[in-house]
Order: sequence, then structure tokens, then C-alpha cells
Amino acid sequence: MRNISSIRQNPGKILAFGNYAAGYQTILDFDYLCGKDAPSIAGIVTASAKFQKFFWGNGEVLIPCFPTADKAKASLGSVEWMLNINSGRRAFQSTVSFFDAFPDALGGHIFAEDVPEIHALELYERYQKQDKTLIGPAGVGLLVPGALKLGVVGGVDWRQLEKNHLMTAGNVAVLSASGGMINEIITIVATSGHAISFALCFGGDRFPSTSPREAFLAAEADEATSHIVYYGELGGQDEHELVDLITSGKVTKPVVAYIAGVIGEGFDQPVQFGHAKALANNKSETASAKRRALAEAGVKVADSMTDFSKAIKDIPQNEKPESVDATSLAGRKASLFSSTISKESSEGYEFIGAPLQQWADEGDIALQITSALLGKRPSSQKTTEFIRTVFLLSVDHGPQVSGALNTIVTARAGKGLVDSLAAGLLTIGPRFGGAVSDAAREWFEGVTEAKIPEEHVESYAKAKKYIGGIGHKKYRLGLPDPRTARLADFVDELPSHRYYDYAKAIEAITSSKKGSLILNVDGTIAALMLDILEQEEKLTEDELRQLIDADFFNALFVIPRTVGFVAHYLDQKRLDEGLFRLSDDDVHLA
Amino acid sequence: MARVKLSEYRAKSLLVDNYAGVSLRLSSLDDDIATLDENTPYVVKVDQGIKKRGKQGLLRLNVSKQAARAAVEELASKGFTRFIAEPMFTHEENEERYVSFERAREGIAVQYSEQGGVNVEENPASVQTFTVDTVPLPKAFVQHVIDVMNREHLSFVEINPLIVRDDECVLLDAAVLADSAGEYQASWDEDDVVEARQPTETEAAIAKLNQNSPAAFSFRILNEDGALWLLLSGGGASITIADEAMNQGKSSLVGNYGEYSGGPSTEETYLYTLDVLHQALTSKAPKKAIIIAGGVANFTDVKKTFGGIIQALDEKLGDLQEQGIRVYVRRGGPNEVEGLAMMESYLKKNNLFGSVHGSDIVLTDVINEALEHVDA
Repeated sequence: MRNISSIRQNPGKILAFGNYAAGYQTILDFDYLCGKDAPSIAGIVTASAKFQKFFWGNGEVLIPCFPTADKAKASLGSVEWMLNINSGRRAFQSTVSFFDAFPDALGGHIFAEDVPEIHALELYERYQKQDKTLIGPAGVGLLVPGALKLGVVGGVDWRQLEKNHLMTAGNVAVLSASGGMINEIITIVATSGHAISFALCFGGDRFPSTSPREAFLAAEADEATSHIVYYGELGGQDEHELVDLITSGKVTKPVVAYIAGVIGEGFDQPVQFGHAKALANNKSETASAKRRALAEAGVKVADSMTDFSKAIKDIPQNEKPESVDATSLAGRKASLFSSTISKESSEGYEFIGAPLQQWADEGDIALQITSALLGKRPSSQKTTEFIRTVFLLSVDHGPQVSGALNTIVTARAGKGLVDSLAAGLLTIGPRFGGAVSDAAREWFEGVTEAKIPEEHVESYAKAKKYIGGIGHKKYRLGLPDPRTARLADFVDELPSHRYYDYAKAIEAITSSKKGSLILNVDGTIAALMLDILEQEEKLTEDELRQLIDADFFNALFVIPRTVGFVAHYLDQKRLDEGLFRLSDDDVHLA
Repeated sequence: MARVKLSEYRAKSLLVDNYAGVSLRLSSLDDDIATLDENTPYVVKVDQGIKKRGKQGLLRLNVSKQAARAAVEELASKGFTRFIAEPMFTHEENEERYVSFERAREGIAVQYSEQGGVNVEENPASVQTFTVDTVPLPKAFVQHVIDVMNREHLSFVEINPLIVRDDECVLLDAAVLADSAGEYQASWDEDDVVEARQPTETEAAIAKLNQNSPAAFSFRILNEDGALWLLLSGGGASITIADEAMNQGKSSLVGNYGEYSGGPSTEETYLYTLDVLHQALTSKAPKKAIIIAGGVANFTDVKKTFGGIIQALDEKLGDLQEQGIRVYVRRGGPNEVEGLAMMESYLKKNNLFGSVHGSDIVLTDVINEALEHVDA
């Protein structure tokens, strides 16, 4: 197993599997109290959210969530440890998916108690034998004070961490088959003036990947450890292996041990106790036989918990561990929601990372809106240039169109600015102005699913559906839309433009069937925006898909057109023609 | 989580193609007997995982279909409910072999003896350890057993006696331990699991609670008229606490072993406690104590679980007071201070108070305090 002192020097990052807010929170509390500048949990593999919020000290932090280990890999790069909280049935598959995605990881901990033996042995073969450190199945994991908390070992309440000085390394290694007893023993060690060098719970299953034998060898190899405190149980042959290690000189550090389960010797039939391994099949597996064998090998074996506590207290004391003041964590309160857009700061209001005065100094409204849409400053000037051009071209397309008309009708009915603007905005949808997002989805799915344009068109023709971004009432082949021609200037500035190329390939087919089925302004905006986000802003396909799902592309219409609607509203107020009503011959009464 | 014993009938159904045995259950005896063959003589055995049935008189030889009912009813009179009928197989005693396969860390360990049958324990030296590749048995048979073990999550297969005639292997008796964690992928189920003793009502109720919860609950009666009733948390701490009664030479006073762990909800803890209290209240011991104890929990919430325990105590309060039962508590973990304070005030108010401690006393001291009360 992994050398403990190397973990102490370079603890590494954790990818967690499953939902266990309280367990993850103490890992963050541990990290924070250890003085780390960032949480050790880099991500969580779970289906349920994009981020999960945790306390980081008194403040809060968002940890990204991923549906699979592969997606985590794509986003996080490398992590060193897995913390697997999945159920026994899912532990095997998720562990395999972790090491497939992160073949260089150091190891992990599996928390589930009901992992089938066959799965446990397969994991042992695949990973432990290939120099990974896999702790469990079952048990509560590994704690290296000041460095790594991989599991619920040491508690899930920061007050437990503080009370037992788990942020500062000591010299007593605590090794245990039982998750509950390891914490009991950590408490005895800490309250008797000692501090632990590391605590490892290999668990009470029959085939833990990291065996007691390996844990003892790790304690022997660890320079910080001077004494070993061990809790074992009836069942299995582990303690006889430990005796071999001690008598052959492979473990030389003094050991204090308690082996539980003498109560099992009072019955005719062997009794199955709480842990899977806790059943003595024969004499050598009884607690008494193990106690005797260990005592003969020179281990200080306690006959009762009282003696065990005393023996731990008698371990020579090193310097008292430093106390870490954790009182700042008391009384913290979770926020109701998270925001990355703006905040109040000492310099006034900050918007996307800069005070509003600075935005004013820069004087570029297009840059500010582009930053607002991306949630961060754009990496490329081309992005801002494109959005500026889109806005300038989309501000208004005449009073006849549905949205402008509704604004005008509402204004003439005597309503105010907000009502009239809202009437116009609420008109935007699948048939009016809302086609940019639909077109973006067409081009995105066509490219990422490697669709053949002919088949794409054919499938829509069969279903008698329109393709978003294709077709115009007025412009047609031979009569090009001047707006799309202006936008097409951006094509040459991009190193590559696969979405635009796909849209043009679709247009080539549809316009050959009917001259008006050209790539329209919505379709052009959608295609070029996708290409610019991918080429200039380096967004991944997943990130693009999220933007499509969030209706990002329609914002490119809504924002400039808001200006157009306001213009129509004010215009109507100036002209003041009175209430608008259709004449009878405008309506066919069927 | 642990290994469980399957019935001989299920074990052989898994291991033998076209197995000719029949399962006979008291609950469906007429239908089961109807499937027996008119002209075949059978051996009828108790099928509840008991060893040395021949020596204990738990099998009947040469039973015809007509006589099957009488044979089963006679065996049932000794308190059994599951039986198996198999066609008689005549062989010589010196043909009997012993073989066992056990899943171990480095593969399947095989034990084999030429001198099998009921006397194998008298010839322990004849049992030798082999690997799957070296055991002197037909390769196809060995491979078949290994395949079934892997497919069905079997951890231990013992066949004794085994009769080998050329390439044919006949399993006269088979005992199988299956990995209960693998049940969801196997073709056997909970109904195939046998126990040598019938679980008591309380044990069965808690086994069911355990099955339907992500947390873990166990309970086993050790002495129906015990004086110490244990409501313990944690697989390790529970053994350690029970050990202390043994250390004090008082293990005969312990009524039960059991534990709850894995962060049970308030409601689950309430149900578990009710079952334990029911058993404690039926004990005929003159002075009784309930011990609510555990180590310093990593994640099980003390306040939440104690809430469930108090709810159950309250439901049985009249009976507990009438019998003068005292409650002794020692526990640590998340929300320890709040949980212990709540428990102490409840016990004192209702005259059940024995003692309440946090992690400042040794885990097992609480047993000694309770012993002073029941064993004065």
C-alpha cells in the first residue's frame, strides 16, 4: 500500500462517488482546518446536480458534479483518490469506472458494507495487486492528520475533528477492523494526551483489499509512527499473519492490541456477530486464540477495554499536539442560493469580476453584455465583435412583425413602458424570434452526432417538420438577405467552422428543392455563434449542449429586440393615435 | 453481508444438473409428496443445515411414496419444518470421499480426503489441501462446481460423502454457504436460507427490519431469562461491550447480542428498540437492566437515534416501571451532548435512570454499573 509519509507530503485530490453531504462536509472542514487553500474533493460523480454547495470555513464553495467518471476526467484532469459511497451493488462498477478513467490514481476507499465477496476479490486482484491502495469494502477509510481524510473516519462533525486534534500529526497509528471502534480508540488516544500519526480502518468484511497485514507494514514503514494500536475481532486468520510479521522482524514497533469476541466462546454453535468476518469457524479463529498468539509474539494484549485504555495511556507521550481553533465554524448558516454574476464590494457593485466604474471606463456595452451572457469575460475579441454585429443587425425588423405589433397595440391601449415591452417580449417563441435556439440545436446535433445532411433533411421532410434556421418569407435564392451576407464576413476569420459548414450543407439541399428554403438570419447566427464559442472561447461539446438547453441563443435576439420594442413604444406615445381596433373587414367571421 | 447456509435441496439443485431430489415442507406437504415417484425408494432427511443427521436420527432410509407422510411427521415431531427426499443410492462405504471448496483471498482452496463419510472427522490427517488444478477428481466436475460457485455467489461448498464412479460424481450430501451480499445476482433467495434453530419472533422481526433498511440491525437471543438487555450500536463496539460481561464471569446474565449501525432513522431505531424491550420485559430474571451503549460514532446521529429509543421507552413505560428496570447509557458521536442530555432528563423524570455517560468513561464501564444493579 501507499507509503503514509508520501501521502503526508502530497495528499492529492479526491473524486467522490454518491451523495453523502455530511461525510463530504467534514472532509472539507478537515481540509480547511488543516490550512489548505482548496478542498481536497475536486468533484462528485452523481446524477443529481451540476454543483453541490458546501461550507468552506465560514463561507461556501461549489463542488462540480459529473454523471460519470469519464466526464469528471475530461473536466478535472487528474485526481489521486476515489471515495466511493455507492451501495454494495454499485460499488464494483463505479470503482472500475474510476480506475479506467484515472489509471494513475493512487487508490480509494469503498464505504459499502454489502459488496459481494466475488467483487471484493476481483477489485483486490485488479487494483491492490497493481500497487493501488484500496481501503474497504466496508470500514470508514483512512485519516492522515494534516493531510488526507478519505472517509468518515474521525467523525462527520467538525467538533469531533477539533476535540481529537486530527489536524496535527502525532506518533500513534490506529488500525482497526471496526469503523465505530476506530473512532472510539482515536478518542482514547487523543484524550490521553497523544496524537495519531494515521488511522486506517480496513473494515470487518471477509476480503478487505488492504489487509491488516498491509496496514501493519505501512505503520512500520511510516517514520512518524512510533507505536501501533490495534483493534481486531474473532474470525479469520489475520492476527496469525500479524504474529508472523512480528516474529520474523518485519514489524518491530511496539503494538497494543484488543481482540474482541470472547463472548462468542460461551456458546455451543458459532455465533455470527455484526461484521461479516466476525464468526469463528475453528479454535484458531477465536478471540482467545488470537490474543494468546499475539501476546506470545510480544504484543501488549489487553483483556478488557479498561486495560486497553490504560495501555494506550501508558504509551510514552510526545509533544502535545497543537490545538486548532475551529470555533469560527460554529453557527455558520447555509445560503439560499448561489450567484457568480455580481456582488456588493467595498468598491461598490461588482459585475462579472469588475466594478461597474471600470466597465464605464472601458466604455464597451457589447463587451459587458457578452461577459454577462458567458458569465465571464470573453477570451477573444471576435466573440464580442460578433455579438455586437448580431445586436446591430437584430434591433428591429419593422412594425409589422408580431412582437412589435403587440408592443404597439398595448402602447395604444394606454399601458405603460413595462407592460408594452412585456407584451412584445411575451410574443417571442417558436414562430417568432425564438428560432435561434432551435437552429443551434439542429446544427449542434447534426455535427456532434455526425448526421448526414441528406438524411437530416429527408427525416424532416418525412415528418413534415420545418428545420429551424431554414427558410424566409421574402428572401430566396438569387435574392440574398443582406444581414446574413454581413454575418458571413465572420466565417473567414475563424480557423474552423464546422457548424456553419453543416448549416450551409443543409441549405444546399433545401434551397435546391425550393428557392426560399435558404439559411436565414436565425440559422446563420446560431451556426456562427456555435463556431465562435467552440473556436474562440474553447467551450466543450458538453458546455455547448448546456447553453442550448438553457436557451442561451435566443438571448441574442431578445436583448437587441428589447431596444426595438422600446423604440416602438416611445414612438407610439409620441404619435398618440388612440386605441387600436381592427376594422370589421379585417376579420373573417367564420 | 455475512455467509448464510442454503438448504441441501437448493444446494444440490444448483450443483447437480437434472437433480432428482424433492423438497418437502410442512406448509405444503401434500403437494410436495404428490411429486414423488410411486416406484422409487427414497431417503428422507431433515433439511435445516444440521450436521451428522445419521448419528442424531434425523434421516429415514428406504421410504416409499406411501410412507413419506408418516416419515416426515415423525421427524417433524422433533421441531423441524423442512425436509428433503432423494432416491436411494446404493454404494459401498469405502467409496465415500470428502471434498470442500472455499473461496479464499488467492483463489478457491480445496480440501479432499479419500476417507469421506461420517467418519471424516476421526481421520483429520486424511484431509489434504489441494488447488482446483491438483485435486484428484474429474476435471469437468471440479470446473462445474467452480462455475456454479462464481455464478451463484457461493463461498463454501462441502460435499460429503461424494461418490466417484469413472467420470460421474454423485453428491450424497452437500452443505453450501452463500454470500448474502450476492443474493441480488443469484438464483437462490432468502427462502432457501436455513438455520439450525428456528429464529424467535423478535429475531425474525428484526431480520425483516434489517432487510428493508439501508442501515444494519441484528438481534440474537442468548438467554431468554437474561438480566442484561443490550441495545448496542456498532459491529465492533457491540462485541467489545458484550465481552465485558464475559470478562466479569457474568455472560450467563446476558439476554441478547445485537446491534444497530449505519445511521438508522429515528423511526427505525424506535421499531428496533420496541422489539428489544419486548424481549426484555418477557424475561423472568428478578432484576433487569437495559444497556444503551456504543462507541464514539463516526456518523450515526446520537440525538436522532436516541429520539427513537425514547419514543419506544415511553410506549412501554408502565411495564418498565412496574418491573423496576433500570437503563444504563454510554454513547458518543455527532450531537452527543444534545442526545445525552435529552436521554438523561427523560430517564430521571420517569424513574428509569441507572446512569448516562458520554465518551469520557471507558466504553465498557457501563456494563459494570448495570451488573451492580442486577447482580447485587
